[in-house]
Amino acid sequence: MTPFIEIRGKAVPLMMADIDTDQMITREFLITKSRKGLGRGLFHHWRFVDGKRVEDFPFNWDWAADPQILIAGPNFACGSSREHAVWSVMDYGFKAVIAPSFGVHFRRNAYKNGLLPVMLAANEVEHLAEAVTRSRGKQLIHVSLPQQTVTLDDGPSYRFEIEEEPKAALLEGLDEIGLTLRHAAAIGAFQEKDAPRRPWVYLRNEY
Amino acid sequence: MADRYLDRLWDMHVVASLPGGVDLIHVDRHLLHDLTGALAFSSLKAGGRSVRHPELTWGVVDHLISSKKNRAGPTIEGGPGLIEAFEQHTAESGVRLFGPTDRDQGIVHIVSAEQGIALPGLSVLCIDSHACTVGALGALAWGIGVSEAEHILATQTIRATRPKLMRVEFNGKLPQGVGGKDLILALIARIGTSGGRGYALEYDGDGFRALSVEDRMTLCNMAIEAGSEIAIVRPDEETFEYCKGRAYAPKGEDWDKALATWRALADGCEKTGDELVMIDVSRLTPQVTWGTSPQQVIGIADPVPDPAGADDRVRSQMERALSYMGLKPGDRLSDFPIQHVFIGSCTNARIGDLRRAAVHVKGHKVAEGVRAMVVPGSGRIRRQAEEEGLAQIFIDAGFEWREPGCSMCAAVNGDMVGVGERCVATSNRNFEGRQGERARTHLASPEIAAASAVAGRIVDPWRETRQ
Repeated sequence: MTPFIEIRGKAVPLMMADIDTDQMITREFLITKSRKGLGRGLFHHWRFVDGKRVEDFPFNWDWAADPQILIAGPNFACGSSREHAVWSVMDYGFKAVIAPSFGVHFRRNAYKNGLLPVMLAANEVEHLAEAVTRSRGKQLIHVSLPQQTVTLDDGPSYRFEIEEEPKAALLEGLDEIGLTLRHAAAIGAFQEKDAPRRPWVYLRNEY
Repeated sequence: MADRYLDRLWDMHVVASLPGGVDLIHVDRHLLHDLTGALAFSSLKAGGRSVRHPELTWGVVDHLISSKKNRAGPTIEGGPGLIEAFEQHTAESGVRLFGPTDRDQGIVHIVSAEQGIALPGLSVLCIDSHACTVGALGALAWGIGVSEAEHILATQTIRATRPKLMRVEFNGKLPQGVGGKDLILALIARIGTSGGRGYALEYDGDGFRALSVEDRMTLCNMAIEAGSEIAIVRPDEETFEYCKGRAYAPKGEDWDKALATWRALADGCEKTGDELVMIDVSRLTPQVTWGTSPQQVIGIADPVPDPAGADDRVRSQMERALSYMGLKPGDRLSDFPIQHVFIGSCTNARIGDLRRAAVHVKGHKVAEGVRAMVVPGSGRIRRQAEEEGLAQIFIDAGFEWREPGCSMCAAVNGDMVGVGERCVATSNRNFEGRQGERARTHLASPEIAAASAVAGRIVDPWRETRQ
């Protein structure tokens, strides 16, 4: 996993509440054997209708090309656990998403892939979205994971909370499976102790 | 330390406590499906790793498979290739697959319950957000993404943080025609699609306990639509009765020991929560969604709500939903012709659902202009419905009687609602475009869906007798 430490970049706002992952990546992009190249599918049916660019969709605004930070509304990316939602956001170029809250699956999937989901208060998120929109993207946003801050070029700095463990994993770009396998002996010991108590759990192939 | 059912279940699965409040949880049962299963296996192999416990892992083909007779195609571009890759990976790893030709194939959350793969007291993880369904059996179950599935394949564990607990009590006598689907829609209407975030939902109360085990699964299934990954139910004698004799359930002495363990596990738990929600079911009517979010719910006879007066964010969301659904404030849903009825999905495609639906179909015909289909939740359910004569009732009325799978709920197998058409569905998501381009989905119970197929519009079959 690529580590996330900090980023200073252009942000684009998408402030609707409760955007579900079905909207983020639709069925035609979902059927894939690869995690790669899904950026073109991100919000595809909102970006294009009948093959034409939807000019008033934020991603298509004239100043909004190549953004690195997505500012989103509450309960962003709720619904299906499809990890494609995270892969498509990252492949589009985003490194961090700032929102008042996230769908549970999206947030966890983001951590596993090195995308930083930042939760701020609703009024803080709105302030960032307004400032970025007003400046037509000229005001960049600086997100620092070690400091746990989001800072607007011109303005306030907001602190965000993140649990210890995903923070460490993101900073170091850790391979969680490798980390867990360090506990292989503990897993074996758990099973050995558990098997006599709950023999029905440990099926054998011929069961 | 709290001693609620959730705590007991959680604590017994902790392999190690890691820094930051994260626990390494043992995964007793791991299930994958065809939409993303191949990706999890290929990532695992790319990392040079193998499946640690194939005998605790199952694959089910449900999302991408044709529901047409003899599984005739075409389905969706790339679908058959993904199924094939999934078949190869499971075979190579020695993982039992409920594949396209398996007579017990079905929707993963239905198969895991009816095969006894999910049982009380087990941790059951599945690469699908509706994994919470089998919490109804007293299992600790939640949905995961591809990266987490890969982690489980390699380690038989998952890293997780214990959620808070929201205790939801449904009390009172269930009115006629009101069941699991109506209770869960009413709950989502009450707490919203993010109301359950950070919580596991524990269902209880006399109104809840009066439901069949299958109907409890319907309630657990849609916990994710209330923002919660986990739904749990303290198992009772009905749960044990449901599990007894199932293919992977313990037998003989093992069964007796398991039963004693499960009874002790459920006995004397603290019946408290970090949050408490009380719902009086005695005043509920059948619930139907009017909008594009599962929280946009009304009683079947109620007018479509008016966004005026709602706060800005809610208002714009409601206005967008009204426009998408082709509705205005004050409209009655019964005034709009429907073009599709879909009875199926992991929410409502069990035998009890089909029995209750068939009552409203028997001796009637599907209304002109309506395409109606029943997609049973599994091969077992399909065969049972055929033996009981339910299939014939649906077929005689003009329903399509399909092969099991996710079908028009996930709508990634070629089964779709036509552009801009209106569908009454027993499934779980009414998102924009979920069932097809500009498709207008109304979520409802199997009874309402069946009666609506006959009427050609959304109707309450008990409207004459309802107070």
